[in-house]
Amino acid sequence: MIAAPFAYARPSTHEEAARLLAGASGLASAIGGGTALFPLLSRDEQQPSLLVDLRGLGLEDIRVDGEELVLGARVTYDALVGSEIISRHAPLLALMAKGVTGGRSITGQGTIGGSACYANPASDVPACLLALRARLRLVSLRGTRDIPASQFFTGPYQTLRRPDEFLAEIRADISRSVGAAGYHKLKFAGSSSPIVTAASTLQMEQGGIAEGFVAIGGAGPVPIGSAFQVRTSDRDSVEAAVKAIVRAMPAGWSDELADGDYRRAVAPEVARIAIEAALEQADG
Amino acid sequence: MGERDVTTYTMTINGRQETVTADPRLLLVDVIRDVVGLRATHVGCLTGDCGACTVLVDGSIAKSCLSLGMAAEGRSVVTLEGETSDIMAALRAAFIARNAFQCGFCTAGFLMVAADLLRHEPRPNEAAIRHALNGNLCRCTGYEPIVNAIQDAARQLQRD
Amino acid sequence: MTADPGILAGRAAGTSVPRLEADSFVSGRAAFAADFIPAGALHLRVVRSTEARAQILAIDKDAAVAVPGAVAVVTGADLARVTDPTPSRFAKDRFPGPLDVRSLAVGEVLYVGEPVAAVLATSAGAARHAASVVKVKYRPGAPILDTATALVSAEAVHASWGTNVAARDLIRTGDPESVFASADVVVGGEVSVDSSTSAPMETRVYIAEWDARAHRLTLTGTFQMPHPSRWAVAQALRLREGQVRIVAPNMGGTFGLKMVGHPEEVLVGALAREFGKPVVFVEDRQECFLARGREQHHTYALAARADGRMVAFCNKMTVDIGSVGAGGGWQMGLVAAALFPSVYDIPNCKVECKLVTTNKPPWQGVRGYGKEIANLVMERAVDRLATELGVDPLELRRLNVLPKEKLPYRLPSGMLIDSGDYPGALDDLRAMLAVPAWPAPAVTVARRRKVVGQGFAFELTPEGASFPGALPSGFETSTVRVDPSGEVVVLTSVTSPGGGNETGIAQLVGDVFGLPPDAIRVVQGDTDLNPFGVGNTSSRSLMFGGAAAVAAAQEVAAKLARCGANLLETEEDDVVYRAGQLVSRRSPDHAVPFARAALAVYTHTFTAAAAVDLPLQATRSYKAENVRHAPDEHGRISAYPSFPYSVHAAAVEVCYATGVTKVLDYAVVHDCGHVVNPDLVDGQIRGAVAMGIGAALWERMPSDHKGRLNADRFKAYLLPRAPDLPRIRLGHRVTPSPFHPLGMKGAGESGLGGAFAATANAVGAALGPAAKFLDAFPATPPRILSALRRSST
Repeated sequence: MIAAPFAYARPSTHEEAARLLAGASGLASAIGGGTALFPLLSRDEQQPSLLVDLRGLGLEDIRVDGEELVLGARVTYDALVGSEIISRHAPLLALMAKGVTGGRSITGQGTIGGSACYANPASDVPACLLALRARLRLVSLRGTRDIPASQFFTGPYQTLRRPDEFLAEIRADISRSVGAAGYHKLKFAGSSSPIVTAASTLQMEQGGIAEGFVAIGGAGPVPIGSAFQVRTSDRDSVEAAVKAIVRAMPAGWSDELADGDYRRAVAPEVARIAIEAALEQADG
Repeated sequence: MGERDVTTYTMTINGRQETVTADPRLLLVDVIRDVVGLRATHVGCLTGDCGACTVLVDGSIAKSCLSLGMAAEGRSVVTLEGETSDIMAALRAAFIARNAFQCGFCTAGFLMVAADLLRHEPRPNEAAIRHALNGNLCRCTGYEPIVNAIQDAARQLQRD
Repeated sequence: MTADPGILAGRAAGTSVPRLEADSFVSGRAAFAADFIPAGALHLRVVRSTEARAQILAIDKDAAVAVPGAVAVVTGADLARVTDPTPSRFAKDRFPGPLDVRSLAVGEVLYVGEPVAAVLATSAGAARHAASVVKVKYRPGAPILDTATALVSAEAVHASWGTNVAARDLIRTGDPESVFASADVVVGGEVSVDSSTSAPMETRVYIAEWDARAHRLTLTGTFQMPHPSRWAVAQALRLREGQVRIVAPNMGGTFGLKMVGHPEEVLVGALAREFGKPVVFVEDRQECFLARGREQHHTYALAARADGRMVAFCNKMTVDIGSVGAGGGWQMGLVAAALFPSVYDIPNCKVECKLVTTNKPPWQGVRGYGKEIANLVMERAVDRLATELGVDPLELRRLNVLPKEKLPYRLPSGMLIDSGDYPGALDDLRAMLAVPAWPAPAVTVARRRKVVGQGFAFELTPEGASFPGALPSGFETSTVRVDPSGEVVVLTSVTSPGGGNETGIAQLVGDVFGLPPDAIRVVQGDTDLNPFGVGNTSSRSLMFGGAAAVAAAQEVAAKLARCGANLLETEEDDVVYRAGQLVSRRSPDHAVPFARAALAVYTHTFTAAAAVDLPLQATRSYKAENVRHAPDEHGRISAYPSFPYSVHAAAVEVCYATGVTKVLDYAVVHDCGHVVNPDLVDGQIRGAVAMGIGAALWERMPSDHKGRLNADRFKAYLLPRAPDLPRIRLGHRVTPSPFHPLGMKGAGESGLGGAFAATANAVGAALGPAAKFLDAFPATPPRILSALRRSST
């Protein structure tokens, strides 16, 4: 039983949801899947006066809109794994979602949008959104704005989302062919949150050269990403890409499982595995 | 001294329509246990980690500590008590035969997850079983007897 | 009349019959403590200290009592008016001064999480909400958060003690100093162990109901020691023992957590009496992580001849027991000290042990009870010696274990090892590793720099703890009764935390009467019904409670046989119990159904049952043999009667780039003497091995510089999950204890220490030369990476 009293609302339109949030003086929490929120409520770590359940807004769609992939904020990990559109246009997300642990009760309830908004550095989604160079569409009574994933995450559990906004969609450009993807996360054990994650995408170019992008999550307070070029036959170019991303990493982030030094120490290996997995997929 | 508000909503639990009049702060697991009085579903952590509160909501497996009771308005909830499927019967027999529980506190959750697995994947290999159980904690058995029981039940169901 | 060891020779005992009431668990009917919360109960939420060391200046209740649903806020001062200090089950004469244990802090707090105030409300949510707005004003002091500080501090955690050394022990045998000085080889090292915990899936629950007319309190809840709890709660509440009834329904595991001495046991009782309503406490998971244990540091040295024969061992251990409450968790440090040098034949030993108080939560019992740590340290030392000598670690063990002929053998601490066959167990283990093939050691997997290490460990696990001065010390009691319908009822003092000991007891008693186990009803966990005993601890349930039940059953069987003899028109010694009947041995076609004979005792009291000594009931205690409380010539006593052991092998893959580990394979050979139900024993050892692997690799709860726990949820305190564990290959040996009437040694705890040590040694083996920097456990990935770095610089 949750301790602090709250009001509960399940709006059926974007506008109604936005109005509820606007009227809550910053004391509302939106329920995406709930897998992150309810533990906080049960442990009194968040005491919102209003819970806005986004279930009635129809944010579960995965679709293609022109040259963009559009994911509703409430798309679950299971939905990502099962989607044709995802496997065609954003296989990275399927790879990531397949690796989410906790059983189907978690993967069928946890949502990509909820995870993005929670912005736990020790989680799968942030680095993947960076690697997809996704944009996050926030809705409020003041209107709609799109924020690139590279700017959305501002610190551990902090994003640019304002209290009166909710995340409606995640959009990614799919105008270029997707090519290959690799994802790797380091965990200590089944119970452990991801310690460091790496997501990589590759576009094959002429002459055994690939344009790539790699993003690392968990190593620092926010995920970081960088573009690189690799010669597929040349392992040294992978090392160069790894070095580049590691150089770009901000100061480490610590939690009870691992400190910043450890995270920085293992980040190169995690990045390397993700890039190599993408390369292997490109070869295969 | 009285507490202020109660809220009223209906849901189906184990096939029965239940009208719940209760404190809005109740989680779904609280409604199942304390309002409806079904005690197979247990509370082990309230953080979604242990799986002792696992139930089916509209046919999907869910941890009932990770949602509000009133958010289940209009939905259909099935707890271990309401599970009468052949799959569950086979699992129950196999859990007993394999000593797949000791204290039994986590058992309802494991049975619910195992039944969900066998519904989706009738012949899972050991790795798939262990992966499916990853959201449930057992402190007594070391999991091996649970894995064995699920394998036995799957084989039994194939034979039937 | 003593129990006949032949009881285990056949029939139900010795076979894996299914658990009694198994169906109730898989159907969801099995009732646990929280299922008994009555409607209209008041919910207790404890306001806990946020400071590790502080004076309480003021407690402001106003905001809390204004919360809708709040009923009352009770402080330590309020509570002290209606309660006395809570006594401890263990003798406190080892402590340097008196101890005044209160369920709510009075004046000062000694650790973060200490109960400061109690909030009652009409719902669990309202109680939590109200508790969150109780304002406690503290004057913080400088907390003592490590043993090094504690040992030099002028201030004592328990001020009246004047010291932070709560207890010490010095165990010595032979002449270790001069042997070390002249030894061919000496290895030394350190082992430090973090705080970890039992973490059963069910947290603690207490429900208090005060009957104002009868002046009686009923406490229903997670009590693994109902009688000691009754004794302690009655004194704290100024009641006679008979005014308190403790009821313990099915328990969702305990692993040591649910022993006597938690503040809330007393608190709910006092509040139920004061407020005239049932009061319930349901511990939340975060609170459950306050139950710490195991945090300690060892500095060891092991001396050997050039041929590998060990000649001397010494160890200095400093144990961070936190503050001391009414529970007995601190005892685990002393038990660890008493175990050295476990199964090894080392004539010269010295163990120095200090229990040191700090401003951390008190220790609570945790499976292994100290023995797991002694086994870890000893086995790390043996592995270091094997590395130093460049010899096979299993062969080094074979060379040094006590040979069968040397048992019984007195350990330096005074404990007398009963029996065992350590070389035989080693042979069995080697055979198990061959089929199917064990993962090869030290193989680099692909280019990921993953190395597989093999680790081995012996475990010696003394059981049946019988400490002098403990309430009670070293016995359990069972009553066996045959009712007119022929139903056999066993009322036993031992409780079941979930391991299935009720089934084992039913098997034993059923065999006495020639009845199947499911014909026997075993009643546990109610102080109004059950005879006096400890409950569940130290693998005693079958060893003590079962032996007592067999003795009582045999006494009743002898009584009923008299009636049977009359009905069969034969002599009493001609009557045997077989397949639900009393049968004449001489003319086996002469038989009378068990139920008919039983009914005759009640109905034909002056004819068929004329010579029967009524009632058809007997109560017997089993008091441990091989316990000696009179000091020997070295001043040592022996508080453990029984010595199960096991030998373990683990294969662990270590990633050199990340320190991440994976357990690939596991094998263990276990000997707990005669076994009543092999499947149940297998279950115990598998569970213990899983816990040992968790303790070795992942489970830790560090606290921060303010003494606040920062691993208080399952996302931070990593319990093993299904994909983390391999299948466990199990082998058994049976070496009966010569000191137990049924040859039992006890099962339940065994396996944890061996798994802890074997897994640690496997990581060490994978690390190669860096293993000497592996000195802190659990061996988490950051620690493994750090050992590799220290080794390469």
